Amino acid sequence: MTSITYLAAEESTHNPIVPLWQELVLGTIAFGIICFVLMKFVFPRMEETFRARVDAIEGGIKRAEQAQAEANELLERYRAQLSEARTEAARIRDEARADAEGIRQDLLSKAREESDRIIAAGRDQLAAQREAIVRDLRSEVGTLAVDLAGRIVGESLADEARSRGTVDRFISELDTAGGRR
Amino acid sequence: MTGQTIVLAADVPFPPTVEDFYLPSIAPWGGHDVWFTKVTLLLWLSVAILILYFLLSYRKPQLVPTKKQWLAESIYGFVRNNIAVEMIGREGVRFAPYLTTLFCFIFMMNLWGIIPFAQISPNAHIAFPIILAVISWVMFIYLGFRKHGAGYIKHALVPPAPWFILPILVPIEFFSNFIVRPFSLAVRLFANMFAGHMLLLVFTLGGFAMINANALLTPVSILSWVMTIALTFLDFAVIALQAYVFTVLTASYIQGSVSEEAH
Amino acid sequence: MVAISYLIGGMVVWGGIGWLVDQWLGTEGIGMGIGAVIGGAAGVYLVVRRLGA
Repeated sequence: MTSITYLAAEESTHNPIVPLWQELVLGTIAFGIICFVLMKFVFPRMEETFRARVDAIEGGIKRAEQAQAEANELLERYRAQLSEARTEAARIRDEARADAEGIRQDLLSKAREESDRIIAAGRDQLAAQREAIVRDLRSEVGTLAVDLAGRIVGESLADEARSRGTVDRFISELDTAGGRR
Repeated sequence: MTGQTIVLAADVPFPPTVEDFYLPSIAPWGGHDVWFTKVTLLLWLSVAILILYFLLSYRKPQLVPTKKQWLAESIYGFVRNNIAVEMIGREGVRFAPYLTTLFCFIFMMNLWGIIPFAQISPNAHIAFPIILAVISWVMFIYLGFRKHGAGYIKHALVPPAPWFILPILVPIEFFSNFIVRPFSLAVRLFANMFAGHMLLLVFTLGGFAMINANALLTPVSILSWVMTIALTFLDFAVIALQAYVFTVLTASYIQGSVSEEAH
Repeated sequence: MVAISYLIGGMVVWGGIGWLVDQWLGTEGIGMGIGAVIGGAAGVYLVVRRLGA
C-alpha cells in the first residue's frame, strides 16, 4: 500500500523533459572541468605539434630546394668546365697537329738540305779527285811518254823544257781531240 | 521497486516507464537522492576517461607520432579540419579546441548507452543536453555581439527583404535563431539517447516478460534479445551521428555569428 | 534543418500572435488561422531567400 503510493508519487515527480537541477549543477561542473583540462593542456599542444610538423615539412622542402639549386649550379659549373676543357683540348690538338706539321716540314727541309749538302760535297770531292788524278796522270803520262820516247829513240831527251812543252802540247791536243769528239 | 534493468527473470516490470531512467543513488545511504546515481557516476567516469586518455596519449608529443599519439591527434584533426575549418573557415581553428571537447564529451556520454552494464547514456537525462545547448547558445550570441557590436541584432534578425514584410519576418527570425536553435539542439540529443535506451529496454524486458508469461514463447524471447544486440549496433551509429550533428550545428551557429555577410 | 525551423517558426510565431488576438477580441480561432497562414507564407519566403535561388 505504502509502496504503491510511493510509486505514484515518484511517477508524478519525474518528467523526462524537466531537468533535475542537481544534474544541471553536476553536468556544468563536469563539463567545465573537461573543457578546462582539454582546452588548456591538450589541444593547444596538438596545434603546436601540427605547426611544428608543418614547419618541419616546409623546412625540409626548402632545404631540398636549396640542395637542388646547389646541385644545379654545380652541374652547370661542371658543364662549363667540361666544355672549356673540350675546347682547350681541341685547341691543343690543333696546335699539336700544326706543330707536328711544322716539325715534319722542318725535318724534311733539313734532310733535303743535308742530302743536297752531301751530294754537293761528294761532287766536290769527286771533282777534286778527278782534278788530282788528271794532274797525276798528266805528269805521269808526260814522264812515261818521255821515257818511252827516250827508250825508243835511244837517247835522252835532254832538253827538259822543250820536252815538257811537247808533252803539254800533246796532251792539250788530246784534250781538244777528245773535246771535239 | 521499479527501475534498474534488472537481469533477473523474475518480477520484471513491463512495459518500461520513464521511471526506469531515474535510478536510485549508488551510495547505500542515498535512497533516492540524485547527487550520486548511476548517471552521475557515468558522467564523472566520462570526464575522467577523456582527461586521462588525452593526457596520457599526449604526454610527450613527437613530430613523428606514435600510434597512440596519432589516434588522439586524428580525433582533434577530424573535428578541426572537417568541422571547424570546413564550417567556419580559416578562423575556425580558434574554436577547434572547444568543438573537439564538445564532440568527445557527447560521444563518450552517448557511448555509455551501449556499453555493457552501463547501458544508459547520461544524455538520456535532459539536464546534460540542456547544459551543452545553453553553452552553444550563449557562445554564438556572445560571439555575434563581439564581432558586430550592437549591429549583431540587425545581422541576426533582419533578413534581406523589402521593408514592408520585415515586421512579419523579424519575429520568425528571432524565434528560429534564438529559441528553436538551443531547444532543437538539446531535444535532438536527448530524444535520440532516450529513445535508444527505451528501445533496448523494451526488447530486453519484453523478452523476460514473454518468457515469464508462457514458456512456449521462449523462441520469441530469444528473438527479442537478438534484436537487442542488433539495436545496440544501430545505436552506435546513432551515438556517433548525434555527437557529430551537435558539433556541426554548434559550428554552423558560430559561423553565422562571426561571418561578415548575413548568415 | 534551417528550412524546417523557418517554416514551423513562422507558423508558430504568427499563429501564436493570432491566438493572442483571438483572446483579446474574443473571436474563435480566426486570428490564429490567419496568423498561421501568414507565418507559413513568411517562412516559405525566408527559406527561399536564405537557401534558394
